[in-house]
Amino acid sequence: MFSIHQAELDKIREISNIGLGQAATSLSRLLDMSCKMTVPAVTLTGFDEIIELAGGPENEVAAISLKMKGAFRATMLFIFPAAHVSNIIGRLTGESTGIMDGIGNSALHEFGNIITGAYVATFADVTKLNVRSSIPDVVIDMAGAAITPSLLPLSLYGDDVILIQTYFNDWFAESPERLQAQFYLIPEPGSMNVLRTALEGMPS
Amino acid sequence: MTLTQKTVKVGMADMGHCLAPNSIGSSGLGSCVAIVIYPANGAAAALAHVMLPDASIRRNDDFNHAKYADTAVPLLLETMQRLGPFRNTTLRAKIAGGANMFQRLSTVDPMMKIGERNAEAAREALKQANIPITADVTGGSEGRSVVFSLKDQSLSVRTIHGGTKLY
Repeated sequence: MFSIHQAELDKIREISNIGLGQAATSLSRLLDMSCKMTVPAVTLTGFDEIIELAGGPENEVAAISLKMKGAFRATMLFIFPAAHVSNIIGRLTGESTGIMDGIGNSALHEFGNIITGAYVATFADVTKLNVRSSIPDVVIDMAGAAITPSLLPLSLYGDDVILIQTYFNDWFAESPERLQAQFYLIPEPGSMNVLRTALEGMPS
Repeated sequence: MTLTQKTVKVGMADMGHCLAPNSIGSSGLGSCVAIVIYPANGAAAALAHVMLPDASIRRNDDFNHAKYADTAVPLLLETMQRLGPFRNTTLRAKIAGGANMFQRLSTVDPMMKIGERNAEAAREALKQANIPITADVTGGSEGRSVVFSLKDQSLSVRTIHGGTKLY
């Protein structure tokens, strides 16, 4: 059965706070505007609850996913509202271009690269684990369809996943609102012990 | 008198049933597969939202039969038997889902291709039970929401980019 202690979740929050902070800084440079995020909340969350947090199974979201490989193996998944995609692409490319055409698609991949790359680099730094990441994949679809495939390895053991939830500022709102993003670190079951040992080595 | 119709919603790794003239559905299927079983006279239907092909790959004893295609089909048959005296020879099935959502990632992680295996396992389990499949809306790389209506025994399948079609 999948289990993790509060002290371990606290350390993952610390790593995530640094990693996502780096991501926000990189984004600020890339988008040439101020990007901030709140300190993430880290919890163990049930599958159904995760889909509800993403606005329900049919809600249209953008999902950026990649595999962490090497000493520690995991899936990383970043979810945000699909309504923001065209604004992000517009900001990156300086023109309004479709999500599904070549430039829009690679701009979105680049966005995914920056967020997840900053996180993986920090994760490797802090845990001293030798990890590298695959290229990210981007999907815009129903939340249920976009989130579930990443949960499958864990679903062999139980129905919970580590949810790292943060708010980015909503860069495109008239008055700055907070854009809720969900960020998941989904260790492959065989890698849980690797993570646990690495976390023990961290100062608390 | 008019009967109010309702749609029973079935969540991930869960199952449910409905009686005529109601509907039953499941939302946001990606690699998951919805398996609907109903008798030819359309009196009742049972639906399972399966996540994985085969219960033998599970790692825990806390074992949910609706989660795996091979154990969900017998569970659906039991449910139909509880709902009425339906002979197995009159039962029909429709399946939908089993997409490959992250095509790029599925080249580095075979687990991401589980959609195809889910659909194949559903077909195999239905074949074992001698239940003909009257609609098979699986594969591709899009999420689907499905509603099976006992009014006309149609399976409505909606995708974000392709609209709604009846099967």
